[in-house]
Parts: sequence; structure tokens; C-alpha cells
Amino acid sequence: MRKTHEDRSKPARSVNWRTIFFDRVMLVMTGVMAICGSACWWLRGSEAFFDSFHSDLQTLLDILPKIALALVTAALVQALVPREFIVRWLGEKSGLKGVSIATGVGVITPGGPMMSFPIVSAMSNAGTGRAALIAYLTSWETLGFQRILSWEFPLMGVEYALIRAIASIPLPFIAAWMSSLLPPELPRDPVPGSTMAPGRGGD
Amino acid sequence: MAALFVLGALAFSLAILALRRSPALLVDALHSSMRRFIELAPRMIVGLLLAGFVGKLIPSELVAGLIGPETGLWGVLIASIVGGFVPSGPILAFPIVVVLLASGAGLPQVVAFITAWSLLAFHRLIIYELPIMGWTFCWQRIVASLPLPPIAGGITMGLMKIYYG
Repeated sequence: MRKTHEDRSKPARSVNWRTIFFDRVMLVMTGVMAICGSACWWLRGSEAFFDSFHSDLQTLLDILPKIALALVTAALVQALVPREFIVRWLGEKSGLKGVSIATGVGVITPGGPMMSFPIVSAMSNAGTGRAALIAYLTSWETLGFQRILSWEFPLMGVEYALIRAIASIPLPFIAAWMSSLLPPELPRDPVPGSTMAPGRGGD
Repeated sequence: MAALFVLGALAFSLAILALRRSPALLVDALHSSMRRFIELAPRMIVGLLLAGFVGKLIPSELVAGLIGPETGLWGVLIASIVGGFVPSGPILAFPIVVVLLASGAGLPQVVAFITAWSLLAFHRLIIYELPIMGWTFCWQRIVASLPLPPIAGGITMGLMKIYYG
């Protein structure tokens, strides 16, 4: 359990607006966004700028309800699955077993990033180790069955798609092993929402 | 629409399960997910805007032109780098794949390209991963993923030798 920040242990009941708008990630992203937006206006014209704006709005309307539902799902899974169970099977000490399980879950996770990232976040809060988290994402990104079925089979042909999938099977394991060479898990950045007390109410 | 329905059904059945265990559990979970949503939304909106602008600044056709019909390990390395910089989702990335295959790029290069794009997809990084997981996790995962595209391309080369002789 990583309680690096005071407020993580408290079941905060109110939204902390300051950490939403004035943290490092938000400020850097807003700055880069402003620069890219200006460059877009300057280099590609105001039409491209508003065109981008318009398609962003459409994407937003599409993903917001999905991410809301996925967050509810992730929070419920986190509340229902006992923390000890997650730590035992996917925790820092779970080794190859944890990485294999995470890889398998990654393959079968349906839906886009609005589904997989709430899962990663919930898994992380529930005690999953870094190696297993990285294996999960690598597996979902390179071996996710839904993308293979909906994009690669029709566009690359079954043969090429299968060769690519077979060539990608070792990747989650290599990534997990690579991550074990990195410095031991550092305290996370204060990501908003990680104030969600792990396993709260589950016991 | 189908995705929304599946997610809704999943959330609903889990909610019933939680309710049967204890109503407080359900209320807590709903409350924390609502707070998380409010906290994530502004970051995701900024990420979305950023990804949109970058997509306008770097058109996809430009990316396909960079790889061309190269072959061999060198092509795999170039494809690995280029793939990591494609700033878009599958709707734009897979048409590049089709163009690559049609223009005679080998499968190992295409595999390296897809792998690099899947692992580093810039738009997904800034819309989802960074807001949800934070810097530290992001850079560590990226560092752990850097060797993967050339490895996948190399394995594909080997597989093609075995498969096609």
C-alpha cells in the first residue's frame, strides 16, 4: 500500500479543486496544448484549428459516458475483490505468475482505452505490482483480441495478423522483465482520485 | 453504442452484487468513482485538445512516406521510431499500415511500426495514461517498452523465414 501522501489515507469526501487544476501534469499539458494550438492556428490556419476543436468535441461526447461507466465498474470491482487476493496473484512478489495472469487479462479486455485505463487504475489501487501492470498494458496494446479482430483481420489479412500476434506474445514478458531493471517502485505522483482508499468497504 | 451497452450491463450487475453485500459498499463505490470522474475530466479534455492539434500538425500521409518500401533490420528500426510518433488512434494508424503494405514494405517493418504505435500511441498517452496513472508510471512503462518494436520486427523476420522459407 503506497500512502505517500497524507490525504490518501483519508476517505476524502470532497473534490480537491486545487489538485485538479494546479498540479504539475495539468500545468505542463495545458502549456504544451496552448503551444500546439497556436502552432496549429499559425501553420495550418484557423479552419484546421476549429476543425480539430470540432472533432475533439465529438470524441469527448463519445468517450465521457463510457469512461464514467468504466470508472464505476472499476470502483465496484475494487470494492468487491478482496485486496489480499489481488496482492497474492498480481502483487509485487507474484513474479512470472502475476505477469502471465496480467497478460491473459490484457488479451481479453474488450473496448478501447476508456475501458483498459480505469482497469489499470483500479488494479494499481488494489495492490497490483508494477511489472504486472506494465505486462497488462503491453498485452492489451499489442495482443488485444478486439483490435486484432476488428482492424487487423480485415486490413492486413488473417495470415499477416496472426504472424504479428505470434511475434508479439513474448512482448509483455520482456516489458515486465525490463521494468524490473528500473529503480524500485517510486512513490507515485499525486494522481487525482488515488485518494480512493484501497479496498475500502471490502472487508 | 454496443460498447456503452456492454459497459452499462457490467456496471449494473456489479452494482447489484455490491448492493447485496451491503448498500454502503455501493454508495462508497459510486461516490469515489464520481469524484474520480470529476477529477479526471479536465485533464482528459486538455489531452484531447492537445492530441487533436498535434494530429493537425503532423498529417498521417507524411508518416507513411517516411518508412517507404525499405527492407531489412534498418527498415525495422526506422519503422519502430516512426511508429512511436504517429499521433492518432487506429482510425488513422491502420490506413497507414494499408499504405505501407501496398507500397511494398515488408511485414517485419509493418509489425515494428504497429508495435511502436500501439505501445507509445501519443494521443492515448496524453488523454488516458498520463491523467490516470501519472508521470512516474508513464515514463517507466515507456522505458520498459522501448526495445519491444524492434524485437517484434526481428521475431517476425524469423517467423517468415520458417513459414515462407
